[in-house]
Amino acid sequence: MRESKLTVSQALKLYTGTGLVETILVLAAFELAFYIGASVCMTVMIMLSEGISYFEAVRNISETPAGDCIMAFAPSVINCIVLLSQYGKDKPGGKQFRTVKGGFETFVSYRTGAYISMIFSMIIYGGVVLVLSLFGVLGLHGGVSAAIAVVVSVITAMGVVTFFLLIEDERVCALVSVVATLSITGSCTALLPMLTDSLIPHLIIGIIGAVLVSVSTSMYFSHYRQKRWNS
Amino acid sequence: MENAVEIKGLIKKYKDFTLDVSTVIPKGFAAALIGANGAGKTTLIDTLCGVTAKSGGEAVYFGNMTDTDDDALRNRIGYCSAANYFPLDWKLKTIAECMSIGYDNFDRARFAELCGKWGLGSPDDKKQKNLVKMSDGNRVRTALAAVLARDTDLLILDEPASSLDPLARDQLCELFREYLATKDGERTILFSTHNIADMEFATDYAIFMAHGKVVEQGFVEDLKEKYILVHGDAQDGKNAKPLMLSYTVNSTSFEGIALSENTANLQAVGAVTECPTLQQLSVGILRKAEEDAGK
Repeated sequence: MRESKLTVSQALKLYTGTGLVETILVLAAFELAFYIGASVCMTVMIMLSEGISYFEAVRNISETPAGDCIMAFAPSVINCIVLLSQYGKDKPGGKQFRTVKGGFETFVSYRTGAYISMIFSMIIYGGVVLVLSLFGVLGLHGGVSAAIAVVVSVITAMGVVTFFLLIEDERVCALVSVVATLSITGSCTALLPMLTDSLIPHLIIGIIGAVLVSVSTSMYFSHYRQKRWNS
Repeated sequence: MENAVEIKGLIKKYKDFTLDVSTVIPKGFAAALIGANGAGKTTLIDTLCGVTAKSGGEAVYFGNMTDTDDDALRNRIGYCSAANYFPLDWKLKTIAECMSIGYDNFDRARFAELCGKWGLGSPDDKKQKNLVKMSDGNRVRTALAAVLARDTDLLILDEPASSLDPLARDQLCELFREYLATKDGERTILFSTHNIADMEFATDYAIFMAHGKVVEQGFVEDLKEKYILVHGDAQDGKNAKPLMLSYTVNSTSFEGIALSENTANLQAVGAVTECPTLQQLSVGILRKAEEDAGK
């Protein structure tokens, strides 16, 4: 089988219309927009209900993990949407993508690009959220610990959701994926800063996440090629 | 005569359907794949393009190529399905960029030219519509413009005329002729269609399918010599029926097709015979296939 390989960025552009850097920035922007929208909404509600100023409301939020949970939930939904986009033959573009240069290898490159985009967009997202909290614009209880926790927990959730992609029924797959993602990211981001001051647990979760992503994507590609690519 | 594709016992099995096809697609001509819904046209096209894996058999392309996973073969085949060929949030610019990445032989200038010809705008326009905001016909035109902008040797099109208006179908026939005229007879087209009357001008060779099998095939001119259209008054129908392959009757008249070797006998029982159109031929052959399947 002779195939000419496309780069990860080319494959991502071929499937989604945007290259790697643009995808990272677009994902980070959407994640931040979700987070800022939800956080500002909650802050304004507290401000109005308690008759306090905006910055007092931000300080109140910082005393509980509520802001940390919002920080975890906002990107989870977006990452789930990215992970669940599999371009089946019955979906727009699905048949065309099976005839492009590289065939299945290009699909593998596209998925790899999607994972890279999600990880880097999360790093940007975590950094920006941390800066916003340090300047007192939005409330974050866990600080640096929570910002790192959200990144590593999203990587872990990506690994778990990739296992769920083996489920044939798309609705069941989407349901369990959303529930698992929200549970993993929400609990890690809220609990880790409360349970420990050390960043070693974050590192361990990050390593577990990386192993899960590696194993699950390998299984997923094998399964997808056999059952769905051109079955 | 050389063949662009030789299909030897190509099989695709699903739970409730089996495609089992042996046929040829002659090089240098436009071949129409004709059949009722569910006959297996799309399955055959998808299998030939590598969109769907075969369960058995073989298709030999251009004399010696068999692997649809080989980029060398992919580059020579231009495939297009009428429905949802591209993601619906794409614009002409995105399509041009992605086609350039996905295929070595995509000509962006040709794509822009075809888009202009069909009134779709230009991939370089600042304001462009997403495909989702286009009509079905314009989406098909866009997909056809993209695939025709590639320098291929074999076009395989699934229902290219389905959403096109009569004028656009006429333009499509012209584009088929233009495509075949270049490269000195080396190019071939295979397309499926239900709009047989409108696409007859573009059809050199016809492959009729029913229930996953090829039931008849040949050059249109040869088929028109092989079969005759038969019609007449209803009272003459019962004498003509035994000599006919397909037969329908109402209170005043009957119609169907028969082998041309029966012309004299049919005329002797009062039937009128004439050369069928491809549309009439298709109805007759497919009706006969349905009757045979029902027995």
